[in-house]
Amino acid sequence: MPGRRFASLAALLVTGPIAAQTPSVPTADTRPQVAAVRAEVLDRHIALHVRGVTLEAALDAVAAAGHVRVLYSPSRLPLAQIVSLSADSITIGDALDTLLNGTGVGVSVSPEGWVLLGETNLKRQGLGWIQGFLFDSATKLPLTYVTLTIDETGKSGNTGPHTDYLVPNLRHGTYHINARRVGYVPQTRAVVVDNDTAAARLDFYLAPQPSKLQEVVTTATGPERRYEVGNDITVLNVDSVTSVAPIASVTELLATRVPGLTVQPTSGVPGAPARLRLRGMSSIERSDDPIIIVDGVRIYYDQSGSYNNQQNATSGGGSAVGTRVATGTGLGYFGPAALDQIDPNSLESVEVMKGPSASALYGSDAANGVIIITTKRGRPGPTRWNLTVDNGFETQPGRWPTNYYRFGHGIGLGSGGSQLCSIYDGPQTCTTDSIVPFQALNDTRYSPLGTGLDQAVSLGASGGNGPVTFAVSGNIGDRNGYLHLPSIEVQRFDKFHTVAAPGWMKNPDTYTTWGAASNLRVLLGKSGASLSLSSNLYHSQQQQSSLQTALPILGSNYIDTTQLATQPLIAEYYERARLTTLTFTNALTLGNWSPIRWLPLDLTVGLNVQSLNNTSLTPRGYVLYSADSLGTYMMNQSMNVMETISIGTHVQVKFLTLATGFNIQNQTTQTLANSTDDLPLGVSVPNTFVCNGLCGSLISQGATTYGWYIQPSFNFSRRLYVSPGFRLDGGTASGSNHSLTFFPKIDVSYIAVERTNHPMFGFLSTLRPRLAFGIAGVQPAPGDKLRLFLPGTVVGIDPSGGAGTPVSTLTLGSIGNTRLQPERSRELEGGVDVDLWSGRVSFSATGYQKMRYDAILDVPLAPSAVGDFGNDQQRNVGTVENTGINLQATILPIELRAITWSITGLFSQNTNSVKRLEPGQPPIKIVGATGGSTYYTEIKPGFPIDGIWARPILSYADANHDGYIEPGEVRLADSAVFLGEALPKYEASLSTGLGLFGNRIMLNTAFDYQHHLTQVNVASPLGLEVNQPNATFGLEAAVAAGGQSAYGEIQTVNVLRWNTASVAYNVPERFVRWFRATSMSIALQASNLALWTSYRGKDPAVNVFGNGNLTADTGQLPLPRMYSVHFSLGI
Amino acid sequence: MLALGATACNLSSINGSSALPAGTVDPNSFHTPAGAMALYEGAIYTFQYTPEHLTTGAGGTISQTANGAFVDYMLTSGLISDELQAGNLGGPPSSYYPDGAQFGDSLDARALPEGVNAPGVYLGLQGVRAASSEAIGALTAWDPGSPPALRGHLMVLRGYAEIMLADLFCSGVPLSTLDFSGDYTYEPGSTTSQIYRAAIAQFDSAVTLVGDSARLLNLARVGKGRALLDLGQFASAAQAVGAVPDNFAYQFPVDWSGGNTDGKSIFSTAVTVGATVADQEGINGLPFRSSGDPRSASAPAPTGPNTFGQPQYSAVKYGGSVLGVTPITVADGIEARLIEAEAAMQAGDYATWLSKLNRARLLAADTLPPLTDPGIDTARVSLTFSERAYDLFLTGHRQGDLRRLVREYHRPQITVYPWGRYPSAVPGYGSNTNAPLPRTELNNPYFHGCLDRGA
Repeated sequence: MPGRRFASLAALLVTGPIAAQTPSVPTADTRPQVAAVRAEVLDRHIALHVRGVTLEAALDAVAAAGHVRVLYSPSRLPLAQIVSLSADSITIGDALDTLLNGTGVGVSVSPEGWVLLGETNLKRQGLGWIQGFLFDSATKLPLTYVTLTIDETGKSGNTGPHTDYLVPNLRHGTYHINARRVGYVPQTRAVVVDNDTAAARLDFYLAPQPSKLQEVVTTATGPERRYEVGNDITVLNVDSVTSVAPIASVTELLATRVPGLTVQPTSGVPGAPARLRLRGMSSIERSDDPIIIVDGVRIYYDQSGSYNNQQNATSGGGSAVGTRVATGTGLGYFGPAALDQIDPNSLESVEVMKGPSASALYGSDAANGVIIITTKRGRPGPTRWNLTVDNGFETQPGRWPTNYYRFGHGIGLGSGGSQLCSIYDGPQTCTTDSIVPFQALNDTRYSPLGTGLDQAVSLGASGGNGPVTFAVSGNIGDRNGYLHLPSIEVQRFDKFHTVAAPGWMKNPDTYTTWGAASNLRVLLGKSGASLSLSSNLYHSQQQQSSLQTALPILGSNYIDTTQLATQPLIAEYYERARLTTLTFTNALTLGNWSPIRWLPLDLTVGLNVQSLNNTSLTPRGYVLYSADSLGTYMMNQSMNVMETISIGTHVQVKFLTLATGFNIQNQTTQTLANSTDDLPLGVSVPNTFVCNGLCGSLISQGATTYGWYIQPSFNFSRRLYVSPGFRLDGGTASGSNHSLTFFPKIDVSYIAVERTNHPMFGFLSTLRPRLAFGIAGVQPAPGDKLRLFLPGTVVGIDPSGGAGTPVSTLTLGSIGNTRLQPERSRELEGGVDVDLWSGRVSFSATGYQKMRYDAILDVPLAPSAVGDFGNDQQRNVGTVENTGINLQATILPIELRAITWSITGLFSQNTNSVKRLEPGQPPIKIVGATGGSTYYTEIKPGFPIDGIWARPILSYADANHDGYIEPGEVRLADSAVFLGEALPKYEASLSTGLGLFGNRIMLNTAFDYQHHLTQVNVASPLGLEVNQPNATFGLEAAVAAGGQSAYGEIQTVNVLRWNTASVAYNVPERFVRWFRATSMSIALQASNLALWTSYRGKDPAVNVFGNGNLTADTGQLPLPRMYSVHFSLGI
Repeated sequence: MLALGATACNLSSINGSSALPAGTVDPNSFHTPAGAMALYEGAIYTFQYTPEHLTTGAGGTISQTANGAFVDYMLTSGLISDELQAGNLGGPPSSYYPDGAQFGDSLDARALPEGVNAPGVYLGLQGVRAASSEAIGALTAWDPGSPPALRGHLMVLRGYAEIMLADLFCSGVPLSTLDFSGDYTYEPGSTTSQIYRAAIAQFDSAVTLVGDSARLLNLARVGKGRALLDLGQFASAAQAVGAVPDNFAYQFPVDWSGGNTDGKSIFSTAVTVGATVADQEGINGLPFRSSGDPRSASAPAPTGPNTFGQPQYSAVKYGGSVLGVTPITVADGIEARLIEAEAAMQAGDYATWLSKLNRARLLAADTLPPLTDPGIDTARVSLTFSERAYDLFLTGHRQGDLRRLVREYHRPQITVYPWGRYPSAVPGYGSNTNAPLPRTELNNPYFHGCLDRGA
């Protein structure tokens, strides 16, 4: 049977049972280049006294006594065998020879001084053997799961959890063995098996590489070699990235490293999330978020949702806060993304599939792309420890333009009272004495912008013993943002309350995290089956304050110091929001399990639970309401649960590999919200206060999606790979009367040139054209298809029941749409991958066209049909197109022992437009939540779905001749015009690394460029230098019209950012050994070092959510500039 | 592992219908006679007003305090006519009202060009039509054995909603339909006459279903008479209501102490916004307060004058300054007699006309002296409509009557509706006799605006 044949080949190649081989006499290592090291290690004298212990324990004793690392594959040694040895002084070599006598296992030494145990010189008449170990060339750590291919025989297999390999029964001759693994540069080396050295030794030291053609990628159907897949898939080896750049989150890991990915941060607050957009936006109103899979389990990730990730905001409620500085934005605060709770140090790799052509088999919601995360795995051998410590600080990234204010006598301040007034304050509010320049953000006494301290520690251990391997890690982090209560306010608080200001007022933005991740893997006998349990638990607590939203208007809240006593404390009107998040992900995987010998199965059962606890408190102000109330309190608790079950299999028949499987994902969300004004003194527990204001209720929502996929993959002469397939996708989101949706795909990959050792024309090493096509979907929201009713009880009016008799009622909640279809995203992508000069230059280009059919939008209904019930309806309104290109190039201009220089460039261009609307569907306006109706998106053929529109200023004139343009003196057009897209038209990034003295010192830096990004600067007064006496009327008109149209506040800009820079020093091994460690490095790292742009606001990259895809810079904190010292230690 | 076990257990119910928004339940669970009955009650609730509608969700009970369609209509028709005057005069400029007027002002002053915001009562009245259709479909499908009178009741309410749409809004109201088994069907705008005829069809159908329910039968009869009156078919109108007894009344009680501020402001004392009982509003208005007529009695609101210094008055018939439970009358024997009186006047039978008017007057307030015939046709018309105004005070009839005076009796609207200077930011009374439709109706591709803004 084909499956059996495949399995047998792999077993024979990689894990062939020693017992079946001819016993032999151990011999010494034959590699001359390690002779000196060998002599040093094996000749080292130790005292060893082991009696009646297992071989495994004895080897551990040798390692401990000799301070050496002893490396072996447990399946090759009779570890349970009882041995004894007692010697006061014996060399390590002799001790090992004694202990291993009769096992057929020999001793060798790696260049790093590690003792390697493996079979040697297993002779058979006319046949020889190849064996060796596999290492990471950078970390020198052993590698598992390496795929090996022998060119001469065509046989291949994977080492699985072993760190070495053995190829038996080879005829004498020269063999070329190719080794490849996810995230590493493949390597082909030649080895000779002859009569004299029947056992040839060939170790591989694979170099880490973020993305290469020959990598192994994880697809919906399982691991595949990248060149067999016709899609552009980005693979990031996390260790190789974190070793050279400051990485605090997975989002930072992805940013600027994935062509076609745009990251939109929401603010510079610690832990603030970002939205990820792969190849533009396709859905008008449904989520454009990719789905996230961790160790085979889909995790809850609704980063664009306006509900679950938004912390409470009192939205201006509370009558006592007349001068409250943060009111009415309706935006709240955005909590950290589930993705960013994951400690990057616990990850092995991250793979990004960008569109439906790659993600079709993942089913519902995969149309926006898939991010696949694999956590670290343990390797057999002694426990290895890894410690990283980061310590640094963050600060505001610049100074701010001077504003000008009218300094006058404010009405209501009493005689002699002075204050800063806005230019638009009428004479009834403020009389002007003079115009004064003032910028609170640049004044150390008034500015809330300071310095925050950041710390993070991560500790990991991994190893294995026998058939069991493990990897565990833990991390803690503490970030304090650069926002602080201004010193003058601290002084005032102390004065009025005779106690110190609470800590949260003085240092409002904090983000503390802790987490733990583990992976335990057990080999089940010799069948190759394994059981893996992967668990991670992350906790974060984020605190924010509305002080951040006050920045644009901060100046007007300060008055001259003589009036301080009469003004309420600003701090007492700050809203404090806290979000505590606990996320648990658990994956149990049974891999390569064959209930029938020819049918290997992979089964994963997983659970992801995210618990959110939001609270916000707006103090009533101790000055005004000292006795009766703590203020306005809101709480929102939610629990998101994702459950995953998947089962799949591969069956191979000659040139055909058939993969098929079934998976289910179930999501449940429960939310409980409550709020109250006048929170009584002494009451702080959310569930115990008396609900005076809104009383919320428990909301429960959920949806299940499931599907079956099949993918036959055809391999023609190991050059042409054709993989058609489809998925039948279903779900309960549309109710019980749904039908399965058909998502087909096909991808073609052709290895036109593959000459690693002898490039074609002297420079062309690899050439691979590829083509892929696929369809994926996004399901409607729960209940969108259904006509829903709201149950209730009416008391007292019913004619049939009589006055006072409660009767049950049903009223229409929403009318539903029986014709509603899932959004279907169809993508055609084609590209080419090229390696030149044996990989010194790698280039990848991809072009795509992605069509989103049946885009869903909440369309308002005419009331003549539905009255006031469900006055809108989810409807498939039209088609959205994204076209673009993704380019990636890596160049190694210098690759010498003493110096290496690498350059990686990425380029992405995307064009988005609405192709058509359904017949009878007029253009649709989506009004932004920020700025009222001053700007919005219009869904109209020929324009992008993330377009920003506003009514243009037609004219302005100083009609009252007061020297200023005021709102009534600006004339606006009746209708809005398109002003630009929220996502840049194209992005480019450039990163480069310089290694000196054999990579002893490494310099790395990266830049990012965004072209033609349109931003709504809702906080424009900060940037427009309003109230400036010599400001042009045009500038004043732009500001004056802001209440009616954001036209003057909208800018289309280009942005060049110096993203990161780092200097790392890898401590020489001889010093490292002093600490009984294997590696040690220290790095100085910095991020967001400079920003070059014509944008007048704080940071054009900061984008807060509005409705749908509408975003804006609402004056949230700009991204911080961060500096840190990074220390890494491996033991 | 326990969690994983639970996972597998939960996933075994993948076809469950947990995928529903907040506070909603699987609609399939309502496909029962009880569900049909609850939809019936819900439709009635939609028509009526209740201050305490308790919506029960999964985790608790939420209090709803929205106006029912009928109360909204009472407020709106009272404002656009001479029964009520807006209480919230003026405010900050807005895109709708750059001069600072508020919607209540504009409605009261009849400054309602197309494009300005439109009364929300349109949603409520169309909602009655939609809810009635849904409930009728549910009773038919889920409870075929239910009494036909239930469906008849809903048809009557739908007919009344259509009369009110025709009375208040411009010609061109679309009578789109919510389809029980599908989505909806948009219709083009209907003329005012077409809407009255559609209402009559509802009443005729209802009569065949209400069976032995005299209450519902008389409600349908009065409704039909009212619609025929609106069409100028006076004799038919009188014939329709001839069998309605004097003591008939279709009422529903309202507890005005509930949470609705609009209702309080009109009919009781609570706040200074909303509306006040008018008196000779805009020259042509009737002296509802100063006449001392007990049918339109009012009491000063204890909260004092509004922001323009004008005193506020609440209607005594709805509690005056005392919050409590009072009934609202949708139709009664008084209206039936008034319809007969007008038909007699049209027929030249003045004795019957006067007799019917006095009968209605006696039923409305037995302390009032009987009327005498003024002897002049125009005065008879004025007296007829004045008596209707007092007898049917604040029951949502006055706006329709004023339009009929213009449409059927050919009186210039400047002599019918309030006019002249308006006491707020609105420059003066406008010339509209009806309200425009909300702009959201433009989502109906067959709707292109009012067909006619005339009466």
